[in-house]
Amino acid sequence: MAAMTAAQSPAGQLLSVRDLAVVFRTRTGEVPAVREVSFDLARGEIFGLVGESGSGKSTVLTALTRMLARNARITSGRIGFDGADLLALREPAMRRLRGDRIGLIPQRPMTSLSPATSIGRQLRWHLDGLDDAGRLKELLGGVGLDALLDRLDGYPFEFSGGQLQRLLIAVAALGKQPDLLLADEPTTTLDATVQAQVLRLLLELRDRVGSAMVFVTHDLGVISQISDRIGVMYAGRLVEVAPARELFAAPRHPYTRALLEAIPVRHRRGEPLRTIPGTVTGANRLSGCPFAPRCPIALDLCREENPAPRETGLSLVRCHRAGEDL
Amino acid sequence: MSVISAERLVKHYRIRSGGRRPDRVVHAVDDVSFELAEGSTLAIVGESGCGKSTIARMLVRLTEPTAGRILVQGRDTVDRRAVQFVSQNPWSALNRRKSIRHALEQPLAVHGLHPGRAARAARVRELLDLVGLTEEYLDRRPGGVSGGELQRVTVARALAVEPRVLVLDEPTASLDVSVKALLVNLLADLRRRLGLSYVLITHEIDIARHLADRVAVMYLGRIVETGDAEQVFTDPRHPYTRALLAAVPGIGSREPAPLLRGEVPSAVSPPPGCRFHTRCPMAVDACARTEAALEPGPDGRRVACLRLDDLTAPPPFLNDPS
Repeated sequence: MAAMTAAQSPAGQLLSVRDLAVVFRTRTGEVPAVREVSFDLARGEIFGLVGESGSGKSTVLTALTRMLARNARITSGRIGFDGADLLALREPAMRRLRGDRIGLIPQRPMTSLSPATSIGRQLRWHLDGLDDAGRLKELLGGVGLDALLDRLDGYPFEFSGGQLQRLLIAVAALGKQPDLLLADEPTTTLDATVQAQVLRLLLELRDRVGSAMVFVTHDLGVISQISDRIGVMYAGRLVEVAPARELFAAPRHPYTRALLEAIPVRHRRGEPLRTIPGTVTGANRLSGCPFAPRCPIALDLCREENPAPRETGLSLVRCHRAGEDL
Repeated sequence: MSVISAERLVKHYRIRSGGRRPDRVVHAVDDVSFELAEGSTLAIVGESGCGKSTIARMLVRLTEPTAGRILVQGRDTVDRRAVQFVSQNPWSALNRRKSIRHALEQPLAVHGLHPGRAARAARVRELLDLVGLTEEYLDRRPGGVSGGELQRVTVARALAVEPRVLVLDEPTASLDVSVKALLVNLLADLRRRLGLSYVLITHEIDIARHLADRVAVMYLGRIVETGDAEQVFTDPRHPYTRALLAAVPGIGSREPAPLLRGEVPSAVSPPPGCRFHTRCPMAVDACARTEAALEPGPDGRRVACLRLDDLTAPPPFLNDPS
């Protein structure tokens, strides 16, 4: 067996997701939202999960916390977390992991805090020992919020989105120091200069605290800055996994290639942008490769049979034509 | 020939404080002037609260300027047909209980264009065709249509009254990468075919870089730098423009952006002097007292910075656009 593969990270492995499948019940029947998703995460590693709306990236993240919507169900798979199978745990045991060992940074800080409670009081809800002024100072200082020390009686609406997001990062990452931090589009609502501050903060915290991170975003620029490895999702499937630099330098899946080619900076000014023909609608239900209907190099085989993952080194690609010299 | 001239636009919003405390004033836009040349695209870029959306609303007369004026084709009268609006969120821009046919017929009815059933139906089909949608969309409601297609519908609706100018307020912000590319191509194509001019309000620097001929960079209600788009995007001068462009994560680059201290101050009490001086890495004492005018430089661009002469060195931290 290979010493190091995409599905089996080196020593210090923390998370191992195997063949995860999630379906949503809808009026028109069950919709497979996530199918056969497998990946591993080492301690301290940042895994970026990128994809377009409906690709299943946020569903994967939510499945890791087992807090899926009521109409969603995990139909198969295994989520190994530091030796335990999260899908086999009873709810009280799962609850003990959430927050303390598996932290979450949500997309919208404003709706994740109580609007009617001062932020100082909310900090004390989540963190013990905050009456120690030194600890509070250390915590807020650690995310660049020293100025908030004098404003702890303020309410969330009195602060900016960037400040609240850093406050939540202070709680989830610095306060709890979890083994695993899940981040769902944490910078999407922030301005560019503030986003840059938060991304840098997350990288610093990873170095200081050592938390591993699954970072979900639709923004290819953001994902390339934050991630060690990147997984690309399409129609519920993880179609490619590669170290960040490699993915952008030499994408192997036709969908990854098409996505990168559609970006304006890869074109001369005014030149028509390359687009991906067709639509993703219905691709979740296909039995073959979900990208086959839009793929410029699809074969009959691609429409009939979903490709098995091919692993090389730390990379993985699900494409029948991946090995070919095209 | 300018199709739009904005002259010294000011927009202040008064917030009632209640009791005996004096009302507070939000300085949303302060003394902003620009020209939009016929057939060209002006991008207005900046972060939340810089005033770019307030400018969009003033251009389509959804709100009136506190001071200053807007000339459309040289005239200072309100022309509701000449300047049309496309908003960021197509879901909230369309009535979810009405069909797409209704959305496209409504402006024709309001302005009394193409009277008669047959003529109106023909015009509606023509509009759909312009944005690359088929007739099968006519009887659908917004709920059953994807975001990218809905945004095409709002563009078609804006085009219904044959405007000269489209004000596009973050037109691609809610769309996925692949869908975004389709809309960008459509906008470029329509501008060429119909001879339109665009005011493109966006925080997406890559979209602005791709579509715009000229760009104005705004910070806290003021234009800090304006000029030829290629020039400003490849060789930004104002320290804020540099920080903003550098903060946009480059694809495939692992270079962390240089940090800008703190966040945008409140527009209720903008800092004295240069509004950017509280965060500017190049600020000197004078910047807190004196506000630099938007001075034209030798290359035709205008930059509002007291340290303009020290800004000529190329910034060391720009992402390579290629």
